Amino acid sequence: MTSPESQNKDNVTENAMAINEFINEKTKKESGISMLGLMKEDLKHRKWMLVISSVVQFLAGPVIVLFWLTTLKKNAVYPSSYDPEMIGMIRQSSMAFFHEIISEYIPMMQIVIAVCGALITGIGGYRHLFNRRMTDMVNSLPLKREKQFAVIYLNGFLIWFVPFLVSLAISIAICLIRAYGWGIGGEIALCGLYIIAGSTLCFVACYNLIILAVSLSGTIFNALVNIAFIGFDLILGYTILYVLCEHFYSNFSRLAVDFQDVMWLSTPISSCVCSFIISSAQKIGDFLDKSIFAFTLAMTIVISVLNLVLALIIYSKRKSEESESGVSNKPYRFLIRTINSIYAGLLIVFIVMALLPSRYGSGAVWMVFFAVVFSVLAFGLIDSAHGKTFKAFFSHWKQMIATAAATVLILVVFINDLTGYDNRIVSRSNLNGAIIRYDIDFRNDSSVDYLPVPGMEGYIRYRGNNVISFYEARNTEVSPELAYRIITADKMYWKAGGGYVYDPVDKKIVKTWSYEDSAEERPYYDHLYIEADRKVGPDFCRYYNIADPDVINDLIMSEGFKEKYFKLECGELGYPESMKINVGGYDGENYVIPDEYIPMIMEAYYSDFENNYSVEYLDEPKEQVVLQLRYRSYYSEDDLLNDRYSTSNISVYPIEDDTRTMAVLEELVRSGVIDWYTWEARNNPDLNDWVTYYEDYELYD
Amino acid sequence: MIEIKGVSKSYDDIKALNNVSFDMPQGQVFGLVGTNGAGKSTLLRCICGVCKPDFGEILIDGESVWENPSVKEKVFFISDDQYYFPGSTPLEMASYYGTMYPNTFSMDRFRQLMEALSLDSRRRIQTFSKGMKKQLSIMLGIASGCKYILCDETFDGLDPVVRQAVKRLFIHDMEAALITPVIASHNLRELEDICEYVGLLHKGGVILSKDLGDMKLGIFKVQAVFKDETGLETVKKNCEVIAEEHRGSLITLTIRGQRTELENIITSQLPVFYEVLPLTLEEIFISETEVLGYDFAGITK
Repeated sequence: MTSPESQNKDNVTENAMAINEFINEKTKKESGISMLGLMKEDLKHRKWMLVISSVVQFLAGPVIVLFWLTTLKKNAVYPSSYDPEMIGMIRQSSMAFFHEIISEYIPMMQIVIAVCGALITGIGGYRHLFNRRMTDMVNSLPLKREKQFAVIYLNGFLIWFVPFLVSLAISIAICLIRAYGWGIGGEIALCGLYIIAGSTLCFVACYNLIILAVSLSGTIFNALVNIAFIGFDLILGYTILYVLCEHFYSNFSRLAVDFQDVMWLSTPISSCVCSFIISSAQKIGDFLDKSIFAFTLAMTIVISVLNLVLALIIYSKRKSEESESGVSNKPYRFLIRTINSIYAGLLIVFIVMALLPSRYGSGAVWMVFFAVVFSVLAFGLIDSAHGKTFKAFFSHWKQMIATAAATVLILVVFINDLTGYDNRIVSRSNLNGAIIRYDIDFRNDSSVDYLPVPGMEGYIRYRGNNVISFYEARNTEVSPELAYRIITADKMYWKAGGGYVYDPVDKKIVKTWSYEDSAEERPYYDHLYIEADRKVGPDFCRYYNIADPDVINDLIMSEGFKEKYFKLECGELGYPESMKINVGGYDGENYVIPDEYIPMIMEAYYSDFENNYSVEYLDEPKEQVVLQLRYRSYYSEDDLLNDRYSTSNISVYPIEDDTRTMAVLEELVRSGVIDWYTWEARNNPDLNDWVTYYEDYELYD
Repeated sequence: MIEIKGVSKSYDDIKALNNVSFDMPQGQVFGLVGTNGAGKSTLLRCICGVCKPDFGEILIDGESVWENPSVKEKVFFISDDQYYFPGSTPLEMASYYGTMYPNTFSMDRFRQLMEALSLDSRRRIQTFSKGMKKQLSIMLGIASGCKYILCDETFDGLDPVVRQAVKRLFIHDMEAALITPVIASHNLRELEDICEYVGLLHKGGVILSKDLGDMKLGIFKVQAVFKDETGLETVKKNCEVIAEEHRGSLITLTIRGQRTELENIITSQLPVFYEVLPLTLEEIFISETEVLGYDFAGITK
């Protein structure tokens, strides 16, 4: 018989077993914790971020927009009479102002807010990684780390996105109320959608990068350093690659994208640029070529997704103890040491190269020497900084040697073109067709600014010497035969000391001129970009300075090339609004040409071009300058509204057979507008001087 | 049951745990004692899944704890310096843990415990004293309903009354088989009152892991006065003496072995006086670690 005491003990044991079983069953069946519940709890402890985000976005959105609109109302000028022209001008002015707010101010402000928001929510959300106590608490909870990561990530998004949407909606609503009467409500609403898309891209890209930086570090300071490191080392890497290619590859070829393009690929910059372009809608042409924009946008998204995936992997594998020891992540430290040491070695080499005039002979030896010394030095210093003592300088000496060797290897590869990139010629049988983008230098053309042509592909020159304009945005398809001739034609390139002609078939380089040589002795050349369409796979875009006149002639005379020039119609933006004729050079007289002659001159000018189009015609203008017609015109709606005109020149190069131009000029003399003219510029030293030294503003000040 | 199998853990060049293996039986209060830097906190952080062992594995009820939420739901970790969200109140923290332990956390139990300890559930935790924060962490741990509660230096900072109350609470819940507390501490007197099973850590390794009663049955302190040197020499020859101290003619020996066997050997030497005393946990700890060279006797020289 059992005693009451032992019976009681047995009962307790039985109860205990039953309870244990119950707990085991329950935890096995329902171990999943509700995602929404977790997000709610997480949000409760990040209310301060929500408050900051809301206040800042409200101030930068609706409050500022209201402020601007109030200013507009005060400054508005109301016509005393119902003058339709005046009312129309005011309406246009107001609409322009709205466009400025919607397409410039709000997008820019939202991008700044998106970057700041990403910084606050990224660092704030994952702050437990900087704090051992918090790490202990968070990591001891019955949650998969991936789930923890996702909860914090999504909440960070909400913290920024909800106030953003609300403040944007209010801002747009304010604008809509104001713009209702002008009938541009739909346009403003559309702008709102663009802004949402642009800002979201910027926020997500920056947020992902910041989270990656935070996951890699154990302190806020390290996180900030990481953000800079990951964000900008990419630019540095591309810069070095670009300089390497530019320096060691003969200039006739180039990378698929240039430095400016690759610079955008650093997530903070590319996301801001792309976001602004998207937010401000239809302004791609102001910043980037459309294809480059598409490439940059795609790369921004890819890099951003990679950042997120990498952050998630690092977060879920991260050791909790890293929260108390700063950056102890060994692979990351290794990367910092290695990459930056290689960068340091190569950068010093570039500086030395800039000081050494020659790339040949002893230069290469010195380059290797400096690459080794400075990569080792950088490696040791980074290690010392991590170890917080100079004793750590050689603590990873094997890696140090490997890094120096890698730096030298990179240099040797580029010095000797071991990749074969520089000498590669696409075989004729592989060419399917080609498009060239050209920047052929006709008629002493030296303009620098361009404006998009509404409704047309390409640009017009904002300030230029020539209304007949060929610009690289104009693509021309050429036959595979011509493409192959371009590829294999003699190429020009420049190095310290002068110009060289390179024959890619024979691989011979001949120095053709020195900088000391006069301009006349320098060979004629032109810049061509060719995108060859290969039968198998894409080819690199290549940049050629063609030195073969026959190839250039063939190109100029190829079918469809002539039709690529711009011809402005009367009344079109950019068409001369008034015109003067200058006679007598720099100190000569300017005569106003009556308005009725402007269409005649322009027509004669275009006809002259079309009728006389030939290699000689295009190649000889400098020798046949007769006179300069200066005209003023408006190139945009804005210019028109604000009376901001631009001055440009038409250099008239008539040949004696060009009867129409001659007729116009004769008519101008007859009517007393001008006293004389000549087409024999070479016989008129004053004109030659004037052509060389004129400045636009002096004629229209 | 918590099974620790060959667990090693290093922090850079420091080996915190070195091939540690022992079991923590269910339904008993387990005391984890050790020298400074022995790896107690590291072991607890590995058990609750905060840290991943470099080698070896930790099984809770037969399943690995690392990244296993269904197992981690059975474990609540009370660190030596528990984290609370800035500006939060006990109720808010309870709500947070309620979300994290949805199947087992009892808000009623939490309220009841808070009332019993006269802690204000709506007061901001940052205004609490260190001891009150400790109390709160224990209350959250108990209310979590987890089977295993891991306490790292939890009794430090508690006043004697609360300490006793917490002990009673642990024992009560343990007897109801609700919890298995694992308590890491330096305060061996505290542990002695409450623990049934003890694991001794030193320099990342486990010295012994036993039932406290068994442990005390296997080691004794003998105070004796022998007639001459041969008596002492014979005892030392036939017994496993791990410590020896002389005060005049009174000799204190710490001896490992069975009590009856030990007494037979001593009485055979016809001592003037002898007494066999059980060792306190603290004395066992000191003796065991002294054997391994953990001794600062030279500090006063």
